[in-house]
Amino acid sequence: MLRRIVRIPLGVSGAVARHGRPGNRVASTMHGLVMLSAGLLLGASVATNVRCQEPPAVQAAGTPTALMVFIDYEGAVRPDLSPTELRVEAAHALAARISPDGQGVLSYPEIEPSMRVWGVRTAGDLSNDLLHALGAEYGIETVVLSRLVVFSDRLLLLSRGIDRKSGTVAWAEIDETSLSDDFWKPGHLDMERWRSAVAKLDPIGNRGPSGSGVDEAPTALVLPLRPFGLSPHSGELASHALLEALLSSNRFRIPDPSLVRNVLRAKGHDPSMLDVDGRNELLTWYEPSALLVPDLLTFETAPISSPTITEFGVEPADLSPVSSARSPLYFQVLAVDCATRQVRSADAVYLEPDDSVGLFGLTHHVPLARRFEKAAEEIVEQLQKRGGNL
Amino acid sequence: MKRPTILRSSTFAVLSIAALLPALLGCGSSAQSYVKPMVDFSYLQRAAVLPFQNLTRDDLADERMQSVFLTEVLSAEILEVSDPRETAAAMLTLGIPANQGLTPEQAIALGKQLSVDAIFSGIVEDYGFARGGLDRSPEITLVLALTETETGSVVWRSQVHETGSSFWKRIFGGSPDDIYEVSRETVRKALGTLL
Repeated sequence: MLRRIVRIPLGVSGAVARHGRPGNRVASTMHGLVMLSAGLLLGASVATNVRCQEPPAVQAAGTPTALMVFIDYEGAVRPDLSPTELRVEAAHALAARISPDGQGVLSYPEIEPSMRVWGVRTAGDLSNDLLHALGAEYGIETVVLSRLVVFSDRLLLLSRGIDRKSGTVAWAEIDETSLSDDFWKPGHLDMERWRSAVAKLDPIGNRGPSGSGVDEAPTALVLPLRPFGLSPHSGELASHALLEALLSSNRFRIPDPSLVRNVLRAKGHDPSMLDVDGRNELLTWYEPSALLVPDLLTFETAPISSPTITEFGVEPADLSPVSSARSPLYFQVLAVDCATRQVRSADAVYLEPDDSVGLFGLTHHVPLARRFEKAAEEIVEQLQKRGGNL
Repeated sequence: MKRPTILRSSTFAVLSIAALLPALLGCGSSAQSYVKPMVDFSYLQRAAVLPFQNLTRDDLADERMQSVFLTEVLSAEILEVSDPRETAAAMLTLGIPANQGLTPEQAIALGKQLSVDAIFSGIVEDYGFARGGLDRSPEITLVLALTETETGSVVWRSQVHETGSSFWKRIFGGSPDDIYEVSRETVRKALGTLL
């Protein structure tokens, strides 16, 4: 399924100019300032709301964990139930997977006020300020960020555990479950059905929510992946698979990509066009050994105006844009030296189109998650063959 | 005396066919290139890669070819390559349009901004599948150029046309290469005239 492309060691020294302040100290200093200014800007009403909110008691048993759940609907999926209720139910179901008795886990409804204050509306909005607030207000130590992508025929759960104090990703996990053909049938879907479908997904895999990061390893910053000709969710999936593979190797310390992006955004830098100032900002905050710059491109070249398969009277299994994630893909990761701005290596895999037809004409797709996980593992394997020294 | 002669002829014929077969079954291609005389290429140590220009109807042809090119040029381990995202930022800063060729002045300015000795640029002229018949064979035409940033002059230029099929593949029923293989082969053929 995968075709290895190439691995390019350029024999460049891994030395990175070490200057600037340590990230944590900066984070805490910045946090104080931001907290103060945000409090002033948001006005009395919001601030009062936060203060009046009774802090839910986080039990001492286990690591105090905050679970944030975000739901994205791919393609034409539009359930006729309230999105808010679906989110609350999903959060409950996933929290139960982390802690069956509910001890030590705060989920969406409880932490929603803090998320609102710090403007966290999507999984990409995570900020150092919110992490600090979760620690100060609820005693949270680990944040589990789960992104549930809803397809017409499956649910995909992209989860990662973030150490609240350091902002590094401790683990990443992808889970997938298929849905029955009549799942979205109008009048057929109810909350119980939704909850049982979500409950099949495991946000943390075979580990505790806190997991373990690698503190002494070189820091690698994963910049946002650019999906070309694919839905953003395909890009998220590929990016998450890369994160999972990097962490599984235990060779890299990886600050959460959302935090990195927001550090750049806060100073007006665009991660897709990272100039010298942007790089200096990252050097100051993280002293990274390398920037990992992933790209995902579809090699499907059929013009959009060409006759579709439906015009020939054949109904494809899936009409949502996710079918493009099964198209031939080129997954490339550049490792860039943050100080010299030089590309140190390029690793890429070509994913053959996933349209294999088995016996009697039955199509057996590889699960989407597995398709991307294999590609990411292949890329990280190439990195590891260099000794993992970025 | 005759027997060895006959053997030699048949052996020659078999060897000739064996030697020609890969070429006959391989991709159809043509390439033209120009290398500026008296240029010391060893002086060029660090290069930037511009976003490719796209003259095709496929919106992603330029992105695909640039990604493949980047991987291939790095695999040659001849030149250091600066981060394409920084190149994009520098072009924005200097007000250089992304989908146009560089003037010598722009090449010099970009070279200074990025601290590079040379700049690769590319134009995707054809990208897609040949029309006609049942055989959907990929076809790509790519122009690559290298501009040195001290004077802003073009020191190398290559145009390659590559297809995924060939006359003999069609005759013997061989399936054409996929568009990724053709993309890669196109870039390799073009770079082969430089590196």
